[in-house]
Amino acid sequence: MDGDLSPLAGRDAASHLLERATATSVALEGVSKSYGGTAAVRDLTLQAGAGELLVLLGPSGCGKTTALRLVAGLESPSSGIVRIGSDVVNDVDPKDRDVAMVFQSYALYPHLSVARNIEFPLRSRHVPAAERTRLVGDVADSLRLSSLLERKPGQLSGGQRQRVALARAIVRRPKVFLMDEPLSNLDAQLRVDMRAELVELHARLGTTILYVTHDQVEAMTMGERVAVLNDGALQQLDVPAAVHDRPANAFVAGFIGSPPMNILRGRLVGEGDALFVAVPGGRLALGDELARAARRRDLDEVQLGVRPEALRIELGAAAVPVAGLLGTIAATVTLVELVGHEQNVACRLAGSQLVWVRAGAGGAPMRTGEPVVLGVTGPVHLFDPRDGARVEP
Amino acid sequence: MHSSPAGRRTRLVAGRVTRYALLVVMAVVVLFPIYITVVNALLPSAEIAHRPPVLFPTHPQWSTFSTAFSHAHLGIYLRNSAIVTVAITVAELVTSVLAAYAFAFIRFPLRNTVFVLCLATLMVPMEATVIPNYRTIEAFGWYNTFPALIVPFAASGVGIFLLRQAFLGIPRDLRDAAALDGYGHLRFLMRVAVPLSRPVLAAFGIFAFMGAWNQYLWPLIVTQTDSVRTVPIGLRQLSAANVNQIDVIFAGTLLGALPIFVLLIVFQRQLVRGLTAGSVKG
Repeated sequence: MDGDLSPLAGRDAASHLLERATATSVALEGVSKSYGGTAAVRDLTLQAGAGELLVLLGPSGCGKTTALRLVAGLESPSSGIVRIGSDVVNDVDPKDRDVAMVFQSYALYPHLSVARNIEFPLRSRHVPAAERTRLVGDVADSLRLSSLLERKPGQLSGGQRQRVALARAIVRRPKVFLMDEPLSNLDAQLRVDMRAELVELHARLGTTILYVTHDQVEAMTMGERVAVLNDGALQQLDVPAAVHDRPANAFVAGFIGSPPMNILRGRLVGEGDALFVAVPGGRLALGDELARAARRRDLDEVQLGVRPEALRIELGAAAVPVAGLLGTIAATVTLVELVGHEQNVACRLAGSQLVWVRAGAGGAPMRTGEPVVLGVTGPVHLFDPRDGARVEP
Repeated sequence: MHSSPAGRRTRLVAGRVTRYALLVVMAVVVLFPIYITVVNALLPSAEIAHRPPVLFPTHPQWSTFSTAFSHAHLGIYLRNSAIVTVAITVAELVTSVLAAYAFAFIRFPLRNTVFVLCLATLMVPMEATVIPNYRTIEAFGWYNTFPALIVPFAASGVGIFLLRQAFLGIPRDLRDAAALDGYGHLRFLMRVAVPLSRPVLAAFGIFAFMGAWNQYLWPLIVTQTDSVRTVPIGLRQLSAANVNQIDVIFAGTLLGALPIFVLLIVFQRQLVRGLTAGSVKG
C-alpha cells in the first residue's frame, strides 16, 4: 500500500511532536448518566493515571462509549464528577477540555482535503498559517500521510482514513486522547497492524489515552489496565493479566478469553477434609485455600469457572490417568472448530451445559457425537451464584 | 411467438421509434408556445391577428425589443424584478439555513411542534394569506415599496424542510468532532454543514429565484407605480393600456423570461439533483 513498512517513518522530522507530553490524569468519580429512565452509566468510578493507556472494555450497550463522551463533554453526567487533571470539568465546554477524540466512523470532514482535515482544530484556535502548515506537515510525516495531503477522505482506504483521524487528534497535542472503537471498521490484518502502531504511538507521545473497545483481544494486548464494564457499571479494573487470571466475577470471566471461560453450575460436596465440586458427569477437587474460602462463604451451589486451556480431552472413559488432574468430567463432542494449528472443541455435559476445550491439532481428530472424558488440569475459579462475585482463595 | 434475432431487432427499433415520437410530441407541446411568442415578437402588430396565423416572419422587425425598453419601461421592470428576486432568494436561503440547522442540530423545548408549525405553512394557500398580509403591509406603510414585495417571502417552509432533511443527513459524529475541535454552532454551520449541503442549497436557491421572479398576484396587489413594478406586472399593465402594442408585449415577455432560461440552462444538473434529493442517498 504505502511501500513503507515502518510505522515510525519520519520520526526525526516530527521530533517536536514526539517529545513526551506532560501527561494528565482523567477520572470519573461516582458518575451516572441516564437517558429518560434508562441508566447508561451507573455510579462509575475509575481513573486513568497520567500517561496511562486505559481500555474500557465491554459488550455493546454497556455504557463504555457514554463514559468516553462524558469525559469529552459531549454528554453531561446526571450525577458525579468528571475530572481532568485536578480540574472538575463537569461544566467545561468540550472545546475547552483539551481532549481529542477519535471516532469509530473517523468523522472526517468529507468536503475537506486531508491537510484541511488535519489542520481543522488548529484553525479554530487561530494558529498562524505558517505554524499550521508546519504542524500538519510534521504529523503527516509521522503517520505516513505526506503523499495524501491533497486527497479527499473519500479517496482514501480505511487504514488511511484511520491515520488521518489520528493525525487530526494528535496535531494539537491534547492532554488526553479519547478513542472510541477506532479499529473496528478495519479488516482483520490491518487491525492487528494498527494495534501495534497505536501502542507505539502511545509510547512515543506519553499522552493519557482512554480507549473504548468491545474486542477483548484489543483490550488485553493494548491496555496498560483494562476496565471491564457491563450494564453501565464497572466490573473490574486491573492489569490485563489480572483480569484474565483473577476475574472479579462471573461476567468478566465469561467475557475474557477466546473462547471465554466456561462457567458451570455445580454443587460443593465435602468428603472429610477435602472439598469437591460436583458437576453433571464428574467432579473435581478444590485446592486447600479455595476450599477454605468456599467454606467461609457458606456456599452450597457454586459457579465453577474453567478456562478452555485448563481442560484436556481424553478419548475413551477408561484410559484416564488421574494423576495431576483435579478431576474428570464425562461429555460428548458436539462441535469442532479448527483455528489454525489449534482446535476449539465444544462438548456437552450430561446436564446439557456446553463446555469449550482448547486442544492442539496434533492430538487425535475429534468427531462429533463421540463420548470423551475431560481432564481438568486447573486452575479453576469459583463464583458465588447469588451475585456472581469471585470466591477469592 | 417466434423470436428470431431479426424479429427481436425489429421490435427493438419499433420501441425506440415510438419512444422518440412521443418525446417529439411532448417537446412540440412545450416548445410551440415559446416559438409563437418569438414569432409574434418579430411580427408587426397587424399581422399577429392574421388568419391563418403567420408561423414564420418573412420580415422580422427586431426593433420591438428596443421599443420594449424605450416605450414600455422594461429596463425598470427588469431592475425591480432583479432587486426583489435576489433579495427574496438571499433572505429565504439565510432564514432557511438558520432555522433548518436549529431543527436538525439543536435540542430545545417544543422543537418538533415548532417544526410542524413551519411545515403547516405549506398547507395554507397563498390566496388565503393575501388579505391579512395586505393589511399588515398597509399598516406598516409599505404599500408600493420594495419591502412589501420582499419581506412577506423572506422565510420559507419548503426551504426549512428541505435543508433540515439535508442537515439530518450529516453524521452526528461530525458535529461532535467539530465541537471538540473548537467549533461552535455557527462556525460548524458555515464550515461543515453548509458546504456539505451545497447541492440542496443550490437547488432550493434556484426554486426560490424562479418562484420570486414569476410572482404575479402579490406584486399586482401591493404595487401602484412603475418605480417598483416587476416584469410580470409591468407587462400586464402595458397590455391593458396599449392593445396595439401587442408585439412589444411579446418581446417584453421573452426578455423577461430570459434570466430564467439562462438559470435553467446553467443549473439544470443541480435542479435535477435537488428534485431527486432524499429519494436516493448518494
